[in-house]
Amino acid sequence: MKSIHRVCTCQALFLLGVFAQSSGELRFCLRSDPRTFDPQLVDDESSEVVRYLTAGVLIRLNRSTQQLEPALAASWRVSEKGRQIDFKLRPNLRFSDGTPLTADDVAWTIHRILSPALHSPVGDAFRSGPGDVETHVSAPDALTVRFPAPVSALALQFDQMAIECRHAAKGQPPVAGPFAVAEYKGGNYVLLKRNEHYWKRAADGHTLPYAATVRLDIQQNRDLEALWFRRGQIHFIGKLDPELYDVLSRESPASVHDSGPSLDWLQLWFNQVPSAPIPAPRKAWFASNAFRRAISFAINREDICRVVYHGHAKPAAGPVSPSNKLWFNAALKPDSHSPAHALELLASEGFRKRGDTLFDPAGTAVEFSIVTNSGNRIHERMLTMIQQDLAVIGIRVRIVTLDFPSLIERITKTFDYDACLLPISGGLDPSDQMNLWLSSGAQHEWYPQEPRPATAWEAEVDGLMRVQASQTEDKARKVAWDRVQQIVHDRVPSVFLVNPDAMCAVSPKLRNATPALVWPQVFWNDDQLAVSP
Amino acid sequence: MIRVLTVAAYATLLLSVLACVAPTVLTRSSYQQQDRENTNAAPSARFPLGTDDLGRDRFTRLVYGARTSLLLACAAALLSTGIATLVGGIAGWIGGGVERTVLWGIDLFISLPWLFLLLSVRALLPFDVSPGSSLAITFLLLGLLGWASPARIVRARVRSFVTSDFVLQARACGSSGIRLFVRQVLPNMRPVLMAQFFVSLPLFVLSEANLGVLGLGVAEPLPSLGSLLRELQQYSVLNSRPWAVLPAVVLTCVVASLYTLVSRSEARQ
Amino acid sequence: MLVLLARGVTRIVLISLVAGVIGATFVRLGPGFGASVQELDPRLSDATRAEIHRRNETGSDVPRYYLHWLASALHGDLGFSPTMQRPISELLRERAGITVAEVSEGAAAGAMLGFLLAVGLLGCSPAAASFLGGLGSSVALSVPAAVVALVCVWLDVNPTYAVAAAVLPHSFQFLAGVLRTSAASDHVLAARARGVGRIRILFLHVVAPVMGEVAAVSGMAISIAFGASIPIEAVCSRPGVGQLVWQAALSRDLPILVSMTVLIAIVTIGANTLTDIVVARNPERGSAR
Repeated sequence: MKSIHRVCTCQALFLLGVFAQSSGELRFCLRSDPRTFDPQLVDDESSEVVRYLTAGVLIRLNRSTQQLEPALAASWRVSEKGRQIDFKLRPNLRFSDGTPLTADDVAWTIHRILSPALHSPVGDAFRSGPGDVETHVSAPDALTVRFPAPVSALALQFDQMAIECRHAAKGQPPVAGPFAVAEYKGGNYVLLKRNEHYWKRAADGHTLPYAATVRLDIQQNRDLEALWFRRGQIHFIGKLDPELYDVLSRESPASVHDSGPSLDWLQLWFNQVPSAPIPAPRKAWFASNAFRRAISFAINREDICRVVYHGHAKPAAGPVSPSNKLWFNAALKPDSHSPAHALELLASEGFRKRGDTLFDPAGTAVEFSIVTNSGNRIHERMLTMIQQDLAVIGIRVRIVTLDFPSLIERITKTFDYDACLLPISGGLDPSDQMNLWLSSGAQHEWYPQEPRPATAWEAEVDGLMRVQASQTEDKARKVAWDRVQQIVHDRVPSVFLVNPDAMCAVSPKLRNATPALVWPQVFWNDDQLAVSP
Repeated sequence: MIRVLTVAAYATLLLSVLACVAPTVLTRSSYQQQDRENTNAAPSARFPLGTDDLGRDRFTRLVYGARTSLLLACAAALLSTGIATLVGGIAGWIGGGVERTVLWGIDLFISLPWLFLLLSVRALLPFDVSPGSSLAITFLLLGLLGWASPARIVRARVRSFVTSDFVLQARACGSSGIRLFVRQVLPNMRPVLMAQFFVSLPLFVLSEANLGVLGLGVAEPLPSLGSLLRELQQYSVLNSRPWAVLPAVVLTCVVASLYTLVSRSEARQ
Repeated sequence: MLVLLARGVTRIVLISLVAGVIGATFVRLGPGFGASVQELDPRLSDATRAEIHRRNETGSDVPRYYLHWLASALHGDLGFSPTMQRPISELLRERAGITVAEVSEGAAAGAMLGFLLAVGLLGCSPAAASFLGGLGSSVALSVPAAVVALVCVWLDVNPTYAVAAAVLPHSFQFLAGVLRTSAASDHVLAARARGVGRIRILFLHVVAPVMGEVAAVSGMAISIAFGASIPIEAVCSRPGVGQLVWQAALSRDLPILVSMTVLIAIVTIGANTLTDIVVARNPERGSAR
């Protein structure tokens, strides 16, 4: 009897081991074909998914705790206020083809991404000033990297840098991440297989990743993606729509997760480019702080959260989500819905409401158009609600939806628009928003690439952004960033509308999934995810 | 049975005409008024077809949407059928080199990516154009671009009439040229032209729905049958609000009624 | 016959080439050419943004680009897609099978169903035939093809039925008219008067004389099926040529759009040319009503 029990126990343990070793195929969807498999040229979300699953990085941001953790680098030290970083690599690192991973590969990768000929979006985060980066390999597992100027949040930037093999043979280059690309069928799927030389081990000593393969089906239709999820064909859906969230929560409440306000926000801004081909009265309105503030008070953010997002959003006060606890200015509150206060602000600038129409001091009826991208139901509904809210204070709004290329051309090149509503994906660190708030930034939406700050407050913001970028102490950076948030809240260059919640759906078959706020919400711990049979 | 169907067809068309001419007779509320406390409500006495996701009365939006789309789609279908008759008729009637040249032109016309012309026109339009005018321009363009395929069919039919007995007889009686074409051929083209009109009508409504994805359709808050039909692409809508298929039912009924009445009058002749 | 074929091939080649250059001009001059959503990424430097813009402006000199494309196309190289970052011939090889199957099966099914319905309704009274035919056509025309396709996907049924549903009303309308006219002709009346059986009358005296036009429906069916496949593939996310065209249109990918304009022109005009040849070989004499 004892021997039978022993055999059964051994078999169970064996099976557990086997199961842990080959825990099925993880399946989820990409919303489009990846544009590239070169990790340093990633500029779209689908390619970024593949990079995240295959990349071996030196330092990994734990999306759950939002703390940096050692990955390929066992330790690191930032010095000279972010100008230099020293790495000590883990021992016996290998790429997926068995080739040893050394400091030489790390140095080569750094030089590659900073090569001007490559135009790597990853490299842009490290370009802090003119001059070349210097790397010094002191041992096969140690190197020093020195930049021409301090890099803001230096260690965090290495979360995006996939270490490549310097001596890779032609064809699919080897990777150091948990998975490697095995097959790609255009328009259909990308298949990744487990990297047998992956460096990480589970706490109990088992090799990681648990999943044997990852299949990324290419599916643009959100409804079909939800259908596949309900049929058990995929294991999770990230960035879930509010409507689909409600549908899935009715059917299977345990499968949906709302992690609270995401780091993204939706904003409405007015065109303040002096050379914009819009009527002069509108330029004058949009340049008025009181006018912009009035618009902000006239919009009912609570209704937008309730009606458009089905309660899965929070009114936004500024460019930082309240979920970003480290950097959020807790003193800021979203503007409350108050048409009366909006009219007072407008009256202070000489605007008068007669009947159902608001007139400016010169007697021109106040009306303008708001553009957004077509085919997005949420944006269209939001604008329809804003249209009604502004009608209450006598402002007539025309809603114009354009396809993305036409829209981008208008807001970045021709500036032939009045106002625009678009979402912004906010990162964790303030430096991710440099191009948004620096007056010379290309993404300074209301007036991109200003030759010089147009107003005193914009000059102040410029100074504060440079201060926070040059500091290494979070406390000092927070003081500057808090002040930036206060200024843009008061000056309203953009009307901050809502922070949508980060929502996902996770199949009960998927083990060890702990959805986080930061992208990638569900599969941030890709090497720990396992699929039950 | 035929009488019942005829009466039903007349009633449907009468309601459609009423919706087009005097929508306020059929509706109580505005198509843009949002009742944000009653979003996605089920049908009730107050809202016969429930409300949409912004709390707007679906029935009112259906009436106004039908008005917008049916009026404009009819005009566009008439325009495209008219151009097809002219071009296809001339090609088929004259024949020879003219016919070949016109056919080449039609084939070239069909092959071009007209979507970019529509996008260009939209880009040229100032944003201050009212939603109704913008939509009318879209339908006008659809009418101007939708004649090519029907023109081929018209050409083929006219060609078959050129050597027919009744045309030969008319020629023998001294009729010729335009007079012969207008008095003898055109009346016999009516079934083909009517068929093209009936096919074009829902086609243009649905084209407006598809173009809405590119920002070329109707602008909020003005409803159209196309924008209402686009809702059907969401599984959650069909699953939880099946009455959302009514715009498709309305379009079907109108087209079927028109077809029935015209066929009846053709049969009587 | 040889002359007809030669003329047909010349027509296909010339029109396709002209369509390509005009189509390229439309795309180049249309709004949004060269703009891409990647430019909105706030993390990018000005140099990277400029490089993205440069890549997206491939083909901005239309005549030069088109001549270069033609020269390469003769060697089987259709160019490189800046948005998909892959050779276009590779993209087409991957996707053509799905669309060819969809279009051919959908067109055949739609045309066949239309023919069967038209034949079936010949036996009904004219009023009933008219009503049933009208109702059926109206339903098929009024429901968006993309919605039918989505319902097919939800029910786990081949979305090719949606293509057939798009073709059906057109083929039915056309064939019903043709067969009704044929059934009303004098020789059929004479055959009935002589006591010829109904089935024999139907196939030998009604359908046979108009086989040319019945065959001509195939050309129309293929054009309609191809047109319907684009929204069906776009909405249902089927990785066919239609989806590729839609994505290329949304992102202003000139190389793909030029290649596809020429290929679609070849297919459409080819189908129409075939129809014309068949009809020319089987002319129908019209009769007055």
